[in-house]
Amino acid sequence: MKWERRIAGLLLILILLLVGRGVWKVYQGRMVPVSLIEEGAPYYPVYFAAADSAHLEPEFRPGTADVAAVLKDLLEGPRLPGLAPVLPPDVSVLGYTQRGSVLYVSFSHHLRSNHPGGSRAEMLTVYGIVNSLTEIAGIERVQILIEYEQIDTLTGHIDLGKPLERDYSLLGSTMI
Amino acid sequence: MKRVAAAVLLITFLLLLLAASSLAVERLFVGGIEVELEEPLEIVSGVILVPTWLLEKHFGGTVQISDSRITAAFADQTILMRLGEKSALVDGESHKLDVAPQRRGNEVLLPLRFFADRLGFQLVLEEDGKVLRLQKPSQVRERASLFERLRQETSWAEEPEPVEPVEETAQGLSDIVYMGGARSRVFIDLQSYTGYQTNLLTDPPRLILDLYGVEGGPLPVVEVDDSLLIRIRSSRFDEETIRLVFDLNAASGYKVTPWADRGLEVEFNHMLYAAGLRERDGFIELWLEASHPPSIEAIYLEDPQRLVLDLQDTTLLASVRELPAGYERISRLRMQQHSPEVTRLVLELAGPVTMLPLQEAGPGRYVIPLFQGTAQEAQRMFDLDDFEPVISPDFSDDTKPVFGPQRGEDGEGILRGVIVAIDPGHGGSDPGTIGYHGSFEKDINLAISFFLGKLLKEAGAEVVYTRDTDVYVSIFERPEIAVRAGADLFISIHANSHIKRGTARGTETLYRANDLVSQRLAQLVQAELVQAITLVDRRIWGRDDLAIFNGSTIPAVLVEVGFLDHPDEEVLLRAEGFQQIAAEGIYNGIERFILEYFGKGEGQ
Repeated sequence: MKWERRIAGLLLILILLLVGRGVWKVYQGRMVPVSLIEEGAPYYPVYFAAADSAHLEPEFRPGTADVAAVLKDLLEGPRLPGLAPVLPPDVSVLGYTQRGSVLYVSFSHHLRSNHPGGSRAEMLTVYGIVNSLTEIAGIERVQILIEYEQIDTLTGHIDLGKPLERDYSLLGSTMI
Repeated sequence: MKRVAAAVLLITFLLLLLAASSLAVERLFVGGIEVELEEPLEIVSGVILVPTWLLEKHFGGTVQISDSRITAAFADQTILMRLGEKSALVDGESHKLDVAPQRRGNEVLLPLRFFADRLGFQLVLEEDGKVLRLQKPSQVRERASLFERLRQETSWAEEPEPVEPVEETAQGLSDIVYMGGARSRVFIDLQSYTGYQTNLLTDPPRLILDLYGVEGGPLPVVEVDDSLLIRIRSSRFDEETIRLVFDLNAASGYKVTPWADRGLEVEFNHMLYAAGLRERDGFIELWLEASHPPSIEAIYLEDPQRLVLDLQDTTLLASVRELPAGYERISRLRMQQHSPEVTRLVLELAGPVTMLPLQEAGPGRYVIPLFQGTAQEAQRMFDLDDFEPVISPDFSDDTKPVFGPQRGEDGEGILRGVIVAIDPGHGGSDPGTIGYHGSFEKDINLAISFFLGKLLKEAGAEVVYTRDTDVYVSIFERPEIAVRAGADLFISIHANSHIKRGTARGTETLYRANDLVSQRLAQLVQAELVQAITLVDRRIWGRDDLAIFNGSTIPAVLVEVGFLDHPDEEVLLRAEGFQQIAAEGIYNGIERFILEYFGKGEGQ
């Protein structure tokens, strides 16, 4: 009994020392975990904007992509510093439905009313949505609706009257 | 049972020993250079304390101590502390310290981390805390990945294997080639390396380039002795590292470019030794002493009026950074190293000033005459034909454009017979994007469109506007208007915005994807526009999803002149002078395109 207690005590000290050293090292080296994902685990990309960049940047999330998860990720915005959401503030998803390989997603009116405008911003928003959702198996094209209605355009450049395919040109040279 | 306990005891003891040993830093590296330490650095409550001389010698600061006040001055900031007090004052802002500065004998010890943080260094402890490296973030990453790799590859044997004298192998440094040129280019020929790290040091000025993962021996010294580079030395720094030292005449900015197949190239910036203003023959001149004729990008900004000259690939060596000028229209000259590659000169103005072309005034001496007036006035005064003012504010409304194309006599324009559809983006209930200060894109689009239309008409072309008032026209209707009018070209004028507002700047042109003719039109318009307004070139983009392109088959482009959500560019986009110059840039692109595709305008 005595020995067991002593061993337990020693083990406790040992654990405390190890933890303490780890904390100390992390503090000293400012070691930031490079990746949010464990090796070997499944992951999927969600596309966000980067300041000043004409391209979309992927942020990888653990798990397998499905519509609800990807839309939630888009609404939440990026976790990595340096990235910016592609959706304007206050947007909500009203609903979505899939017909064949086309996904129809209806957003609240904020997608338009809170959007800054400009063709580059419109491209980043539209293809942030389309490129992220077409990562899901079985979805080839996405049509964006506002308040359940089909729209001509979001901010006056891209024709949104039909489903859109994924845009590879916005994925940056390293991605292709 | 006893044995188990003994083993546990032993392990605990060893771990304790290890933990204890991590509390003394025996070797310190600052930016890859080892600091000579007479005794290990003291650690108090987990904070490493360093003597003041270390900050002075290795961080380029000056530390003064009077009574209990400690004043540490660095190039870009001054840090105030007091002995025994756990707070520091930087630029009027108070910061908390974990450990107060304290006295040890004759020395004053200061908390290293705080200074490292302020100066942008990261602390990396290696080898169980015996070795401390202070590095800039980019170096940390390279270094860390190297250590990761080493950790995986080597089994950390008890004794390091002795370095075998290696004969010249393929993996080693095979050559250092001085290629010369105005930027003292040097090619480092080596088969492979795992990373590199650079450090520019002063006293004496030298660039250190450490190449990791390189075997083999060093090469003989390469004597260069040009205006900047004296010689290149190489040495084996440690088992993994070859160190190159470039001895310099001045601490110049540099660029390292890894070549795709092998080796890397080092080139140095041009240098600006001095600059100033003087009056000669009734002219005010900006004079420059530089190692090379500077390549200048100039831009005129308002509120307050100033002329900004960016000298590309140039390091500023001038000791004076600010000169009051006291001329009627130029009140001050400021100089700064704007980025590692760009030296920026700013002329603070009190009225329009036009830059005339750069002239050489002897070896290493250059002057830029500054005309105190608008470009038109300069033009009239000098009667210059091929004169291209670099920048000029304040265009008056009715004068003919100054640097448009040459026009035929009597309205016999070279674009006669061409019909151009101009599409001012948005309008009416659709304001387009809203500027940083609240201006509407639709108004700017219309203004630039009118300037463009005027230029096209003057050159003999016929112009059709998809809207010429503040009215809403749908994006599907716009190409129809052009087609109905029999237009040959469709030019849409817009101003841009980024989803992260205020972060982007520059000019982009969109064109109908998979249409080589539209692509060529976009290329020419983009090139001429960027040259005219000198904003960032964000290149051309083929799009197959824009309604205005899909409604017709005529060559079609959408010009995003600048980013209205960026405060600086909004100021430009609102200025009539800038709108006029932008229109001229777009016009020049259209003119080049028409001459290329249709030959002479009338004979299409």
